[in-house]
Amino acid sequence: MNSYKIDGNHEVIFSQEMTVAELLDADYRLLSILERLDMQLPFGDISVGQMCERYGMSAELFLTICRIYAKVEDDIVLERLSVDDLPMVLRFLESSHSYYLDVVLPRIERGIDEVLALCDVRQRLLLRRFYEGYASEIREHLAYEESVMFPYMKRLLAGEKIDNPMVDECMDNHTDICEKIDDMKSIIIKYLPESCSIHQRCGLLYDIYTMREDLSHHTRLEMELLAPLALEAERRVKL
Amino acid sequence: MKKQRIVIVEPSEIVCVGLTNLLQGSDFEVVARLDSVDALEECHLLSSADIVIVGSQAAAVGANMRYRYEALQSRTLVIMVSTVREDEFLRQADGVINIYDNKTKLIKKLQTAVEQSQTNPYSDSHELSERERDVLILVAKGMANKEIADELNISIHTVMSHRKNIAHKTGIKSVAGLTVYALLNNMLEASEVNI
Repeated sequence: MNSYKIDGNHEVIFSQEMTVAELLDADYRLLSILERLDMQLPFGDISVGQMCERYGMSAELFLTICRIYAKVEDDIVLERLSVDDLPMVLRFLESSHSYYLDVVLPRIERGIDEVLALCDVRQRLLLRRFYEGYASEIREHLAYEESVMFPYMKRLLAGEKIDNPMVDECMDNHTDICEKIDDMKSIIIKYLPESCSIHQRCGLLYDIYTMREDLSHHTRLEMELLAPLALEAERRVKL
Repeated sequence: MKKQRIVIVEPSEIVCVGLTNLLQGSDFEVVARLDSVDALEECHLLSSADIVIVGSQAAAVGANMRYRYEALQSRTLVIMVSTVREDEFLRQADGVINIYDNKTKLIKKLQTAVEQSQTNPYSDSHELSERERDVLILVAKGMANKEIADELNISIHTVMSHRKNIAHKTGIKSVAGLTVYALLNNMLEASEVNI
């Protein structure tokens, strides 16, 4: 007997009542959300609601994040969330950053080294340098958020008085971090010489597609979930 | 064969009207007439045209006419001459017609030109045109759109439209990525770029 319902498109409706195992069966990519939130397996048959309680996280927020990652078509519903959820959103974003820096990028880097090992020296250097350019762009982007945007939001949460609101400005400065990874993908699919192994090339592409997808969810989460909550916090401080 | 729509680039009205009349009732239909190849980009009927016939101006523009005008790359290009000659600039065309050709010969030549253009490298939508390669090389060298426009003697608008096509064809948008593409395809030397 399942503890979830199915919607009109035959898709699983995410809810607090369903078990964690069912949630992961519905979309295995959500494993990376648990990984980032340091929610340890195994869960036996506990429900999503119970798991969130165990980790001190709002189940509404957890489900909202899961929907952003798994149900790209759906609009983000903010009604059941509030400024009180902002600290957890920030925690999730910060741990996503470490996940990119400590897990995803090193994996892609290893993949690139393996793929390029069979290329000639000139091509190897060229692509290695392109990748490094991309990686440093990502690092800068994340560092900006960690050193400017997140601390500002934490000051808002602490009720600190602010002179100039910056949420809008931060969001306007939000750069596109997907362009170069798309280029990398095109180069590897279309133009990398035949001498590169097909298995390694596919493995690397799989990692790149995954990262690309994750980054686009990440951006959406920042624009459509983080920004409205932070603006609300700004309004609260000013009142 | 579906009805082929033609744009004629020829300043002589006598020639244009004559050609239009000769083609009446055939599979070919003249939809617009321009005085100069420079007017191609502004011609709103161009998008529906299958064939461009360039008349007396072709010799003056020269052998790289097709490279220079994007509108000529994806369409059947026919050059119209008034003398029998073997010139370099004729090679870029899918077909050559002569103003002394009779109706039957004219239609036959146009049909052959349409067939010819299907195997033409310019029509392959993924292959960069010569002009796009020129732009790509300058992009890879780190030049801005304005500088590229000056260097190639084209408008910024044209540079941007080339860049859009390059991104579409290669799947690569960033300057760094395009540089890698250019180097992997031996379009320039590593010493010519800053990477």
